[in-house]
Amino acid sequence: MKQDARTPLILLTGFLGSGKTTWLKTALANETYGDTAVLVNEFGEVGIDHLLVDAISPDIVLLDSGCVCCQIRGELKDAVLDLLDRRYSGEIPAFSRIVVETTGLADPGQILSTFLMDPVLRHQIDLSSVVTIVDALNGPDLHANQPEWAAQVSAASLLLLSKTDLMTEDVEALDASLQALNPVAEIDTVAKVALLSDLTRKDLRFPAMQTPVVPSGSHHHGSAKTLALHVEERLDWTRFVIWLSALIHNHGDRLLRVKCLLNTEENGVVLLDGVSHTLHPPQHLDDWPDDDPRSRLVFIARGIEPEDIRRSFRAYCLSSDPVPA
Amino acid sequence: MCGLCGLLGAEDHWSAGARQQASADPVRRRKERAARVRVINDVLASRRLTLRDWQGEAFMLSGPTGKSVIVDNVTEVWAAMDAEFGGAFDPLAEAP
Repeated sequence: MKQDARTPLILLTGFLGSGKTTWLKTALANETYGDTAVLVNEFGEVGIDHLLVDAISPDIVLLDSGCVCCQIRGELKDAVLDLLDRRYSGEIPAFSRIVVETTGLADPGQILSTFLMDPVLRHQIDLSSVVTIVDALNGPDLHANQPEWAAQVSAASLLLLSKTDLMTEDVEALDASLQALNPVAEIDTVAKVALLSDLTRKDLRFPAMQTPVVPSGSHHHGSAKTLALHVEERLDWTRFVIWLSALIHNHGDRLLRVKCLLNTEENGVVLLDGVSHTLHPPQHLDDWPDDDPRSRLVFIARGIEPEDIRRSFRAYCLSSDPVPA
Repeated sequence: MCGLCGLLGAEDHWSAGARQQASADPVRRRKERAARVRVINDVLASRRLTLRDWQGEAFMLSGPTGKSVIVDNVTEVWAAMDAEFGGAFDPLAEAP
């Protein structure tokens, strides 16, 4: 099989004060080879976080004067390409992965779109995982009503809980609440995930989809609502993409996450993952990953009733009649 | 790439399926494009719009007056409907 020559990239996000820099600093200190390049984005005139990380990892680039998700996306692209250029020319030591730490107010969807849609970056960068640090102490109460928090949690492939040592209540209740909001993310604590190299594992991309843990039904958390569907019959890929593309075109700004493991007639097993208007290229699997042959679809949305998505999906994707006009 | 006309063959949109399959089998790619056009035309029929494959490279969206727009993929079909033909198809609002 052809080896992927692209450089793995980890997107590290989390709300203001959730502990992103603290965790990154620890993870960098734990590295044996020091082969991670870091891009730190800060919102504000004076950057501070990069100074904290700089003592450990010398390959730090600070993207200041704006948030990477909207104001300085061009700078993000330039910074990543510059890092790659300098590595190729031998100006900086070889690194085997890049970490981008966003501001606490960043919308990951916009950043993902830069990495996945840019004609140059997407051939150079392999977006390995989106890690969201969740403040276990303040997250569920203080942050849950912030739209940025819901977007960051929804986009994650791995949720890392910070400040769990300060909690007096049960962490399991928080786990269940986060799992209901984003059933396709792995959940762990910052103390247990100490190595950046663990985050570029291939099996982290679709963790929950490969085991039958996605509960069917709809749930809500703050303003975000989650719909999980299990479908018995094999799906018509063409009808599904027409429906999903129209759904994303009309409601992409309110669709925080779409993740589907599909059993299709024409294309076999397909994994689809998207945040807002941006979808990763679909991935074909050789075999169905477990004993449950049902397709699994997860939609996390804000301002859309899960029942409307379910009804529309049934009307356009499950019927063998001509698509209703 | 098509040896006859020089058009690049691979589609680079998620709706075309997996990247490696899209360019590896040109016959399959054409069949999948035809299937996409057929399903979209079912949606467009009540608006008197039609979509046609344009040389396996793009799509031509045409209205009843002959006004036509060239689009690259299904997402652009909806965007072109918004911009040129009075509104896109909304699967939530129009679901029966």
